[in-house]
Amino acid sequence: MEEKMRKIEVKSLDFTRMKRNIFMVIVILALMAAGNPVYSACDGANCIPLGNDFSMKICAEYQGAQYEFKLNYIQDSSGYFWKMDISTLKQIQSGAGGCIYVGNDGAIKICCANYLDFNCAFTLNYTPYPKDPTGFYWKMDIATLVVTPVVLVGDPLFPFQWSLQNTGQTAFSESAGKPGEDLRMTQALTDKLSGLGVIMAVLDTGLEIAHEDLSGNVIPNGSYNYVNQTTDPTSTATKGDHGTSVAGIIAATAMNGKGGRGVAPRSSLKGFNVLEAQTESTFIESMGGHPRSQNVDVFNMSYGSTSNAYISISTTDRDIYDRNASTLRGGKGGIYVKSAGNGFEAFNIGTSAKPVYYICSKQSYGREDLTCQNAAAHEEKSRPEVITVGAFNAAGIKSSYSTAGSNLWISAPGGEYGTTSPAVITTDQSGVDKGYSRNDLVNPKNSFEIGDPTYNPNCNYTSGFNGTSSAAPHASGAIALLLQTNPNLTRRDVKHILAKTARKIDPTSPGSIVTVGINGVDYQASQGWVTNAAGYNFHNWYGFGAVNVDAAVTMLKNYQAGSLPLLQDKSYGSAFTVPVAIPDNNASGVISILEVPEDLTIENFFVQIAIEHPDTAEIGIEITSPHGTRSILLNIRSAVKKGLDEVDGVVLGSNAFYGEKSKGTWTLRVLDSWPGNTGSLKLFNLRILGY
Amino acid sequence: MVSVCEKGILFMIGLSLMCSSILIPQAAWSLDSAQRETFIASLPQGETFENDGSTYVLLPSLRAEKTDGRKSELGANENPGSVHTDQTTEDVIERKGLFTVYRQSSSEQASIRMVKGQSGYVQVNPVVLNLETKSIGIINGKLWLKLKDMQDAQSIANSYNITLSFVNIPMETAFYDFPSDVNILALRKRLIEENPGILRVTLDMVDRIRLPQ
Repeated sequence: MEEKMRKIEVKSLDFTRMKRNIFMVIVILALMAAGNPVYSACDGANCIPLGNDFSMKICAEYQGAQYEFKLNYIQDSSGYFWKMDISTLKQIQSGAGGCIYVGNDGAIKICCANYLDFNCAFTLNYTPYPKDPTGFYWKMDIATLVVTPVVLVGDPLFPFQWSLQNTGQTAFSESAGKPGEDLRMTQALTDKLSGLGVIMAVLDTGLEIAHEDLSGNVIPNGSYNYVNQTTDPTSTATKGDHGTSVAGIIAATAMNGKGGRGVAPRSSLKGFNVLEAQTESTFIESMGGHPRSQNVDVFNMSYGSTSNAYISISTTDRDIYDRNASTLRGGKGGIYVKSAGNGFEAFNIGTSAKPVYYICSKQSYGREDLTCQNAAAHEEKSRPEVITVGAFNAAGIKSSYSTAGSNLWISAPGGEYGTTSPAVITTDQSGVDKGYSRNDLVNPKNSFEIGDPTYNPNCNYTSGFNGTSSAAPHASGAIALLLQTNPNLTRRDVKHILAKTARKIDPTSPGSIVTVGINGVDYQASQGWVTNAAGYNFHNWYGFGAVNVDAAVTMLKNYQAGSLPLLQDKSYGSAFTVPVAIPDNNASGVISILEVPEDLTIENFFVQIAIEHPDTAEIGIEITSPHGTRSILLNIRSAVKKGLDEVDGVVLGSNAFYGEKSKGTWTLRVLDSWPGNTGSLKLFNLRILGY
Repeated sequence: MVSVCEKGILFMIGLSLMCSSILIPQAAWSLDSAQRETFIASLPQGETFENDGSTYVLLPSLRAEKTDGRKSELGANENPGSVHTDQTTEDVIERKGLFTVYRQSSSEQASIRMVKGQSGYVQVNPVVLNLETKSIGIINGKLWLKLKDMQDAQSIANSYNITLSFVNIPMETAFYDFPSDVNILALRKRLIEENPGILRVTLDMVDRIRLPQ
């Protein structure tokens, strides 16, 4: 059976290659027929993209009405045919513009269609197709074919974009990065993977829909402004619009002679300014709750709640994740990409207007080498539907600020601050008087930020964007490339492929192995890379490692979408009848054991726990699998000072056991790392999603 | 992450915050978290209710006024988008989302209403306290109902003079707007008590603030 599948795949690949060759022959013939030089057929900016299979989605105006449908290419010895995919035919609102006029004879004059580095113009004549008399077919009038090589003008800032191709550039900062510490997408760039056909939502502060390097990818009327109830979420801020910069990382247009390029430079953008309105309904509506966001493939959520307490999600949020896992993308599930947080060293527990920085090393227990904010203390970041992303810098190690946690899935470029070492280059609010880069900055990070006359004369770009806010859209863009390669991937497939192909970044990771003395006894409070029994590498700083685009795309070539077995959802354990005391200032802590009888392959793993303690920042929680894999769920001396005492327990997720078998003894250890306060363990459950 | 702070600057900010021992409260919004918690706890409390997994209590002596969307760039004493009523800076409790929370002298019912201010009418919203997180919430003009039967969505709107905005069939949830001057907590109670087909009523709120990160 497998052998047969392989043969079919090989045949299919050959077929694709053959079609490309045929198309190239057409191109050459056309060039010869037209003579040199060829004529520029039309405006390349409005070109219809031809898919790898030469399919095209067109908007046609016929007898006053406008229709949208897909034409699929049919190879036939008698000519070049396209068949209407009748299932895609829909009437659209008049006045949208850009539709092709169809004559009474049904002929469609394609002004410009783009394939690889060529734009072509040709006429399709409506014609019966003898082998399928009931279908709707058009045949190319070969005499009308005009082919024009696309003039590649490049992206002036691309050479500085270390996150896409790290050559050791300084990216306008004082120091260079390390070559190769990037998204590993050289082949994807060569193959011109672009995210075409994938819809990305930027849930953020805004989206400058008219930005010169974004507008081509913004879906007309597809965004929403929750402040003024229009479809234009362009920010009114003057000191930078976070969402516009996030969007550029995902989908800044490539090869247009402007700025840099996004990871997925032909993916489509929708912007929802949820961070301006902040009502719960705006988040729900933008996450696939409202029809305006239900056609989105990937939701980028470069934001988070900040608190020195555990943060649960609301009942409605749980509901929307549960439902959208099986309903969005035609049942394949919405993909939610979330930033881990910028709280390794300190974080704001105030507001943007009135920041209050919580600094663990000062306000908690003096440690600077343990994560202050812990991503696992945010329930949303442990959701199975969510991909939580940490940040690494141009040197290939954790960005100084990147929040760690056992629920991180993956890491992506986030950079540092753009002064001494590189941050990320992306789009900024347009104009010299607005944005992160402006000509009135008193202490600019570097010369680029005040309008470098060569590279940033209009201050439309910034070289100083950073944070896991930057890492998440890099991962989102990478996912767009995967979905372009295979649109049938489920949300589970995407997570699996990212985990399977992740790169073990910072392999020795010396800074992450931290031993703390607790009452004279050494305790390993942070353990660096672990390899679990299923062979996956995992690190609380990096998840499974850095996104590796080329490896992921390669894996897709032999991957059957939707092939992961059906998930089972199992829970074990119960509340203790008598709370168990946690010994004060004791590295051994209290041990609790759970036996799991089922032998599932673990996909998602959660500990549900309730702890009563006056200051849970003193508390460490870790669990060891039956195979000996240890995961630190909550590090000692973090900023999580309260909120673990909910009656039904709080949820702490860990991805460290991905792929391991669940059967056997699971050992929980809860310890108190500081003298004075005492507390107890009241509940310990396990929830395992697996197959 | 808005890249505004270098590590050193961040450290200095934190250090200076640590060094400033007790803040002299000129206005409630300038209180540190412990003082603020004490102050909020001292306010009169109204009805307690469950909403979206949290427990809230109405704070009838507070009101929220809607501002424009520029709060993130405002200085502490600025509030240019509001035509706020008769409040002074000392009455400002907190800024949250598009709202500024003020102390008010008279207790009003839990409704959204238009109030005449210094330079025109301003929308005023009820304020609540999240009893678990101790954060202030502002009730917005929307609610959603989890229904046993989605066919009831429109008839419920008709019966309670609320407007059906949209439905999400997989979530079995209907989303509504409700008009000004309706006692929201009374409406919520009626919806629950009079309709066995309503499984859950959720009031829209500004409570958990998400920041770029």
